[in-house]
Amino acid sequence: MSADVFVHLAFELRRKVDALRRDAGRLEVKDYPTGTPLLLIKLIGASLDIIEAISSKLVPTEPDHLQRLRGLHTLVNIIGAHHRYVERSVTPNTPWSMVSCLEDFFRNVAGVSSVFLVRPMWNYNYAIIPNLNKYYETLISGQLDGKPVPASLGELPDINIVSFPYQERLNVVLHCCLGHEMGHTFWSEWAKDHLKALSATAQQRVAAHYVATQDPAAAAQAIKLSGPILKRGLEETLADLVGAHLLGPSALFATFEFAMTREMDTVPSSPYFYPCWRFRIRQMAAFLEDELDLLKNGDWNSVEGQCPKPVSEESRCYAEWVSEIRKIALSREDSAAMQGQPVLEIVYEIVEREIPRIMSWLKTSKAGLRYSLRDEKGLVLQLVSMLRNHLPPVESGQWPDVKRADFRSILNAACLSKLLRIDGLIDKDQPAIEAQGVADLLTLKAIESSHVQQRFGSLVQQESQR
Amino acid sequence: MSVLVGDELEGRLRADGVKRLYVIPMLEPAQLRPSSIDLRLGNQFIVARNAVMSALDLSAKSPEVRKQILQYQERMVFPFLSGKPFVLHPGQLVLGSSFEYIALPLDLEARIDGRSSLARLGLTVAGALSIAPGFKGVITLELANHGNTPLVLHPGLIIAQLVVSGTQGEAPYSARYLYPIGPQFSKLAEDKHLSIWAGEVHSPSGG
Repeated sequence: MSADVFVHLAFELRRKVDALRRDAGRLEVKDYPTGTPLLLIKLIGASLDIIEAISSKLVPTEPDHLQRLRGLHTLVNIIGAHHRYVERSVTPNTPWSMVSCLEDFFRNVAGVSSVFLVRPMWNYNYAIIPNLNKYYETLISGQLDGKPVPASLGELPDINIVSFPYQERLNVVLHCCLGHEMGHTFWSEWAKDHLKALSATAQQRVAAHYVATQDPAAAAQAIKLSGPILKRGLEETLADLVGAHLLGPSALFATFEFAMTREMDTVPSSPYFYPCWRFRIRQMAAFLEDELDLLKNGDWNSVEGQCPKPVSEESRCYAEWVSEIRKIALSREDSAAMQGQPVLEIVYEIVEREIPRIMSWLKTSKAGLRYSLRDEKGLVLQLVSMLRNHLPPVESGQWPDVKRADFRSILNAACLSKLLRIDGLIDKDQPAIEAQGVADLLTLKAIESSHVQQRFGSLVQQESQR
Repeated sequence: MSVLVGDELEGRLRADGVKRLYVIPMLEPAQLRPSSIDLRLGNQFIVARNAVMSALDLSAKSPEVRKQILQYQERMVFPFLSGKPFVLHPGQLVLGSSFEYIALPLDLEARIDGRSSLARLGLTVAGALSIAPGFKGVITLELANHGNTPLVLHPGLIIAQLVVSGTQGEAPYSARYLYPIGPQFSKLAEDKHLSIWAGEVHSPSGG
């Protein structure tokens, strides 16, 4: 390649970076529910600065510099494309009433050095991209010949991208699936102590199984597959259990809503090896056994004086939902679907045996993060009552001694009230879908109100008393 | 019936069941005044998009009015933690709303009073002249700047007062605006008589 090509490529790199900086300027002035998208703009900008500094030291006379220049182009293409996370997270595209509350909650769970950007995507799914800063550092360090990445990237908090399906932005109860996404941030902490040994066990057992077949190629392939199947099975299950730990039955409610549109017993397959939905629901139901017992057997009268419905109908509705969940969990059709596939059978036996230990780890090491429906039952009942009376479910008690509801109780109440609505027990004065839309908006209003109270309530009262 | 004051007003906030007046959330007890309840500014606004309309024909055919109103106005949101205020320019009229969600029992009605301290700066606030018994929702407020200086409005500002009165008897609520959580677009297009004045319906006598 000639020096002309090098000069042209260097020019193009500067032009691209300049275009991205102008994009950043345009994005900076848009409206976002929180300041997190602006932090991502800064992170991208800081990365581009480093890339430009690296490129300025490249010269056409060095034989490998043309290739390195091409590498920098690739980095700019990858990192620059992340402006799309910012662009899509403008206020009207999000459930803005709950975004700051979610970001605060995630930050409390993950640690204050992390921030979470909640953004929509057209893909019908929930997802998390953890720690972009680290990803950028890894990309950039590959271009630095082992020199340390400049400190400017480290000055920003770790940015995690949390995605939800755009068309469901107002479907507030489905967003309880985000508890699962938070669970992925727990994975490395758990995996560092357990995954290696479990992988070795899986490989040994798969190898032992294939000894009898005398087919070394099939054995090698099976051993190779056991790793990703095991990792995915454990990580997804752990994330599900974290979701249930953080959000209580609302996490199971949302997972079930998401799962019921899909085939329950599709076995893990390449390239992602996701566990069967039935398996996942079974583990969540087991983890929430006490809460589900409470829903099945408790007295769930949220009826105030003026409501004509007898108490038993409400309790029956919840009990039926629990029965449905347990019926799904009890069936072993997922195991049956895996029969004849030795790697899946072996790996899932290991995963299933490990689950009680994961549950125990959560209940002991992460006890402070647990949401307990049992502890909040009285409050949740009152919140359901508020929703059935078309009020934002945000507080209980008698003014001025009202108790502010945490957003997790609000979400659990919203899930329960949705069951009542689907069963035709409430909101009979409105078409059911319209009524659900109203309930979703009231729930969002409640989450926002609760968060504003939490952040500003005491400040306002202190100022008033001065 | 007379305006509720003092213990009577407080009693309705504390009442159980169908007699309870809900104002959710009240960030501080001091929002309860001797004869009214302070309301804070919410964070949603409906603003005019003057650049896209030549005029708003209030007597056009109903679907056309509805479409025109949606074209003429758009909703903007200023989340509390974004730190961004809404700037109301001289001569500008926008729709905002109370932050508080109000639920009136069937034997109470209410009205909105603006604050004189804001009016003296040019900001006038008007809500529905009368909020009907049984209403549930945030209250849409018409905000206008009659002064010469742009006014910076932060959501959370105490913007108006809710004055509550008793009624004689009870009436079920049957209005157009059900459980709003932000300012509502005009529903003028639902007026049944618009079609008459728009010439869509002719007198049987021909004339």
